[in-house]
Amino acid sequence: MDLLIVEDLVKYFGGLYAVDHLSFSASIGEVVGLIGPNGAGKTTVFNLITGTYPPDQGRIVYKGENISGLKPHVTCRKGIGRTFQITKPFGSLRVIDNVLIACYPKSQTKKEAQQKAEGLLRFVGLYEKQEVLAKHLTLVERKLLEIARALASEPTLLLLDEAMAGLNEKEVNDAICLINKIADNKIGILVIEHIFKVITKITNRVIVLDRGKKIAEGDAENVMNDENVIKAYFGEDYAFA
Amino acid sequence: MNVKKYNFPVLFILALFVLPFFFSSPVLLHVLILVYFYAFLSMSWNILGGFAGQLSLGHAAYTAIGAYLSTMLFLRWHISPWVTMFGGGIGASIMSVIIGYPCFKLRGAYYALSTLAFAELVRVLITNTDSFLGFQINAARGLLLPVMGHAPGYFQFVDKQYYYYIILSFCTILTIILYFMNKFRFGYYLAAIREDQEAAEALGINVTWCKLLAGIMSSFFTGIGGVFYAQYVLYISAQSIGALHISLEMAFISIVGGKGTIIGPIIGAFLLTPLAELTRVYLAGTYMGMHLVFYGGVLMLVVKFMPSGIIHPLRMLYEKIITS
Amino acid sequence: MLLIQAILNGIFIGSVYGLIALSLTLIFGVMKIINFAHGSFLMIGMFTTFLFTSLTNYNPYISLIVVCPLLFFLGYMVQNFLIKSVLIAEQDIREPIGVLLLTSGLWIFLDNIFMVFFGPDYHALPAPFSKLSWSFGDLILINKARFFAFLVSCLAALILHFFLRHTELGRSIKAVGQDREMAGLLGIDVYKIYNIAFGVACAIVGIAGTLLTTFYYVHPNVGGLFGIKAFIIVILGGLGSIGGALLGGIIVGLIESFGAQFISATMTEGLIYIIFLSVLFFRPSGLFGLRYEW
Repeated sequence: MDLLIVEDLVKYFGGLYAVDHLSFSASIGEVVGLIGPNGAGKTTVFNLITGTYPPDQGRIVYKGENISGLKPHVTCRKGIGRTFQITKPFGSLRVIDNVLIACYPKSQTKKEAQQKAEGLLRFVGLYEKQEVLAKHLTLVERKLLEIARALASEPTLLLLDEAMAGLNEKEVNDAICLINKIADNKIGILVIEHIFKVITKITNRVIVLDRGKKIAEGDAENVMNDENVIKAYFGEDYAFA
Repeated sequence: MNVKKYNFPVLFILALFVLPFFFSSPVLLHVLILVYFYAFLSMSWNILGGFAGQLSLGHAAYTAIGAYLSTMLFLRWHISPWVTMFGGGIGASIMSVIIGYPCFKLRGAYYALSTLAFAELVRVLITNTDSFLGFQINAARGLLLPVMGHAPGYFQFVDKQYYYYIILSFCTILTIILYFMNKFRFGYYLAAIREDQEAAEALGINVTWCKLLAGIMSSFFTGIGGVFYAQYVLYISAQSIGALHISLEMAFISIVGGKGTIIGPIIGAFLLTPLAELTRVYLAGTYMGMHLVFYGGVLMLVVKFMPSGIIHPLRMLYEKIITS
Repeated sequence: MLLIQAILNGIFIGSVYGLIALSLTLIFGVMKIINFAHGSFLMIGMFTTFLFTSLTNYNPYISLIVVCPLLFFLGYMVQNFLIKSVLIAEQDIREPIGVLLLTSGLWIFLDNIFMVFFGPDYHALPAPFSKLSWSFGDLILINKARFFAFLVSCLAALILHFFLRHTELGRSIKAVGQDREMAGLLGIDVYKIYNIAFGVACAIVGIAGTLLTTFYYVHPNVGGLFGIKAFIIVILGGLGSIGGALLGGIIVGLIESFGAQFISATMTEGLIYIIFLSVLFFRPSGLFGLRYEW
């Protein structure tokens, strides 16, 4: 069964189509890449799926249920987790508390949430830093915290928004390992990325957006050689005849 | 539980309870009663303004509703204010939902201004209503409570000591409630909301519901505070407990002390209220408004140099003392 | 002809409200600074006019020579030494309230300093001045002071509009308001512009104070209500719009004026708040403006 089906999704802001009749799907166990030039509408798609804003047209079906327009805290509890492009840690709180809060909705007691939080920190490699205030973390640590929190809600669908942005090569490699570890756990992942290496290494399938429309879909290698995709990213001059 | 850390606060509270046995000067008791009163109001405000991070500048609406509702019920049906007090608190809570529901959709300064507008509206409504459904409201003239002398059953006493213990108990109870609130789920959810509302919602927290609940708690206790005022002063008017300066004082005291902390408002009250009262008593004759000059000045200094409130440098000092 | 009288009075006082709101628009809309002390600056302008006129016995409008530079200087200083550091400290905070609190403190401080020095008495300019009027038949009385206030307000609004559009300084102010970072990158000293803009805004509200003094009482707390009304008008008029602020002021003036005919003064106040809340909830962009996004 398809985990996520997006049907004919439309969102406009002030006369401009941010998402223009987009349809695609994703299954459990898949890692689907969502790529495209800046402003293509990728983060908007995430926001529509999580419910930050409602779609103007179209449907979003998750595990067979129409979730279009449900609020973010509802979609989260249904099993959709997300990270943000610019990380949003709870700065004045400790790392452990950041994750503890994320674990609470799915836990009965504080003790249970505490244990889950510690487990997640171990999983992403932040266990030693649990007492540090989140605002004192480095960029890569913030990204890990962001992922830990998103995993806390025990998602079946994970949305990663440019999780690698700003990381150096080693950090990117470590992050790729982490994502592959997560992918093994039988969840579906949507990844917005710009770094081609990452896309080729972790995705099963890639969807390319340009100005809200899907312009290509398929295997990473094929997609990136697609004429339309090259045109979208680099302009007319770079497309081969 | 780190016993040493809690030594000082517990001892402090005990000292306060024992104090009247050693110092029974009515002036001192009066000042302390005011300190506790403002501490109580500010702690209540702090639930919404500090812990939930929603800067309300209209909390005087709740003191007013608490005081008026309780007094109206008492005057008409002679029910003991100990009972009507809860009516006042609940009435304030209901109002907070009515106000909160639309206002919480607004952010930052818009939210602050909208709460201010609502509070002023409440004040204007009270000032223009003589009676309502058979209850006396007396518009701008205010409501006088019948002086009953020593009437414990009716929340009236001659000796200030009783008021002292009552308001001190209220503060202690509220402190304990806040302590437990912060230890458990709701407190954490509020922390998330005040840090980053969008992230909190993405993690499964029903932000609107939490804000409303914080508002209900906050307004309930604020309303109770209003009732205490009514029973202490035995005269209420929209201009006295429903005015803008009350809203501002509640917020300022918490902010100066340190909003979002339990002790912050208490520190703020201990700092600002005696200053205010003493300047009012000794200087008001010649220099009216002097105490407010201090309030304004202190607030500006704190915002500029210690934006998280006085509690933070104090806390660091305290920790140094404990660990040595 | 009570109706025409009410309309005229409403427009006249409304224009002064508009002027106050206009200056607040400069601060709030362009600089994104919440200035709760605006009423206090108005009050200072009023006291200055009152003192100047009492001491010199000149025509109160002449006090503008003193009021404008004084208020500009005050505004410049306040922005530079008080507000600037808080603004910088709060740059990255999602919902900065520091300046709001700072100016609230300033409001309380200023109002009560004046209360301490001048006492709680109400002052007014010597009687004949504020009562001069023209009459049209027996039916319409146009109070000269209020009419001049209207003229000067409109003039000031026009001058400001011209200043912002056609002078380099004015355009720099607009640029900083629209995109602070970009303006900085283009070589504009952003914080100096903030200082100047704040100073200009205070000078304008000082003018409003002078105008008000010609027909309104002077008292240390008089600024508070005007300050709050100014905020209401700014949001009603839409942030960043000078025309909107002026028009919003006139609308509020008219509502007050009509209200005074039919309902009590305090109830009219209540009506203003109801309108304010309605605008906030249903049309936050006001009459013609952009929403203030955090």
